Amino acid sequence: MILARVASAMKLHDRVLVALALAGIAGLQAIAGLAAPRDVALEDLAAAEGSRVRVTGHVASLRVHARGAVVALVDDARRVDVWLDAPPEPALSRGDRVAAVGLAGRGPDGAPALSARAADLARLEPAESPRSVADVTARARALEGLPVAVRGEATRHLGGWVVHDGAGASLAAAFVRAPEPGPIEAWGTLRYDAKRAAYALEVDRWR
Amino acid sequence: MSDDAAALAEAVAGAFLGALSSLAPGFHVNTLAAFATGAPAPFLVAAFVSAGFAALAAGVFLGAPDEGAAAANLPAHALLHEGRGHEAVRRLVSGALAGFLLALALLPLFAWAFQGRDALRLLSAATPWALVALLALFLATDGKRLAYRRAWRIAPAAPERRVSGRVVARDGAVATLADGTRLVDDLGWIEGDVVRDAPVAATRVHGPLSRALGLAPGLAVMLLAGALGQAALALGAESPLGLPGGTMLLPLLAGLFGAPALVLALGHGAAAPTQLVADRVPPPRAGPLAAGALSASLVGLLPTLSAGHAVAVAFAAARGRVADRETALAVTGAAAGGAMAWSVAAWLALGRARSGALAAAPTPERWSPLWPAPPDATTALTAALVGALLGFALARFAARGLARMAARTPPAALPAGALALLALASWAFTGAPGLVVLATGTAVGLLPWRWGVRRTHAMAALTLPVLERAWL
Repeated sequence: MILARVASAMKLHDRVLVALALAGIAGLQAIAGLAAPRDVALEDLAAAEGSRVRVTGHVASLRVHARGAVVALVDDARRVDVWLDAPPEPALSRGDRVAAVGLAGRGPDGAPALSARAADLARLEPAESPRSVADVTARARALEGLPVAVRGEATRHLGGWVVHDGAGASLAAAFVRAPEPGPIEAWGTLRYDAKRAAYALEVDRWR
Repeated sequence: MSDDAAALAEAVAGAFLGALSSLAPGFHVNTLAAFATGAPAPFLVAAFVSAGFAALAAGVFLGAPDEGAAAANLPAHALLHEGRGHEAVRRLVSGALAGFLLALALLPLFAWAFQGRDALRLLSAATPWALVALLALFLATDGKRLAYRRAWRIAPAAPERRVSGRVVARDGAVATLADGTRLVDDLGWIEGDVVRDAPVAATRVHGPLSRALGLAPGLAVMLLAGALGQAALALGAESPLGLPGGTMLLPLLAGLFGAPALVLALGHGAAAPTQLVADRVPPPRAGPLAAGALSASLVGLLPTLSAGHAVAVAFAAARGRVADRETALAVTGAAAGGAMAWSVAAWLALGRARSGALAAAPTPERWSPLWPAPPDATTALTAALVGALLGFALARFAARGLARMAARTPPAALPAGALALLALASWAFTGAPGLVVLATGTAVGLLPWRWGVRRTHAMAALTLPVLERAWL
């Protein structure tokens, strides 16, 4: 009702301009919707070959070469190379969680890979920022061998230490210097401990 | 060649190419920067500053390439149609040089104020709120009033009906009859307090809500521009020709601020009269210049603001002292020149690039502490000064040629050619979606001209997406 009155108060030229503007904005939003990348898991990248997708994962390695860089991303199930046109800025660290938007394709070895601009790779979470114990244990396969920071409660357990969240999730931790029992943030590398048949954090530093 | 001489040579080259980029319709200094990504900082800083000066000349004769130059359009075009386009450019660039030098002199103060991390954090936290406050201020001070009350105007030539009655109240030209009919009598038709068979036509008059309703056109422009900016910037720009550095900012700003003036010039039909070459123009007064240069510090402090916003603030600050078009041009120039200097200051002292050209330059060492200033700051300020002096000279030189061309060229040829170049550049750098952005931006950009509200409202195309990112 109000819109109809406003429209009737406008002159014809103004109505045409407003209609053009609204149609243009709607059209651009539609184009943006069509062009928006589809989120795919690393293991599904091969099925999305040729389309524009977004993947997320943890940085396992970064190789810089003359014409760009290759970032190896891992998640719980798969490792995929992301080929970039330039080294990522700011520099990435192993273990950083990143998202990359680009074209799904295959690398020189025939394995599924993503081709992306360095500007389209964004760090979501630095390796340095502590995660919950539940998050680390849920993603342990993806994080194995990577720098990880964890936040929880340190407790003695069977002659060693565990970090737990008080809600059932716990992670074995190997400390060079024993901490005080209680709330803790610990930085280290996540390894698979064959003796315990479980993942454990080799702690470098804690607070 | 020593490092200093090399930096000077880079600055001179940047100043020439920057000025050229502003004088070519459809091109912008940001486009030049995209081609010169990774170029040395003196080149890009001088190009940025020099382009700002040349844009003032281009805005008068060829249509504004960006919002800063668009701010000068109204008074400058009035002079252009009196054959004084060259004088308008001289007044603008003289004001710009004065504003630039004044702001440059205050830069150490700016760097000192933002030495500490706390000041930077405070600025970041306050930025969205400050932007909202400024948007509200620009809306509230637009001075637009809407007539909404139904009334009848005395119209002997084209009466729609005839009205009779007794006048019970008068407010200026508006008489109220006993039956509540409002009658606009700006012809002095009514004699005494009785109206008999007065010939009238329907009209509307102001009422108590006129001021509040007057905010609607400006608000509508802001919302349309904001929605357009959000939609356009969500699109990636890919050049069909594989050109580097395409960004939707090019068609967006060209559509909102450049193309509307060209479209209107196309419809105007009349050629610009023979242009007089002004060898001397009296120097402007210091007060309004200072208001322009100081208001422009907003451009350095806050993202997405432009010289146009600084002009609006300067006019508000210098209220009553900007009584004529000549002073308005000097203030506009000072705000544009000040905005360039403050942008360089923000880049050096805050590490924030307020322009695509500065964003393309290698990140400088942050200017902190104040003394001794790092070499990056000294080199950049020298390059900015070179850019300003050369830009000033080149804009004045170009204005002579443009003035001759404006008077000789068929009336539609210049705007039509400039529009064609804008469209070509938009397509070349951003493809078909860029053309949609250009066309939509032009439709939105024409609305402030038609509704008589500030064109700076259309800068919401950048401000609203920034607020969206900050808060949503």
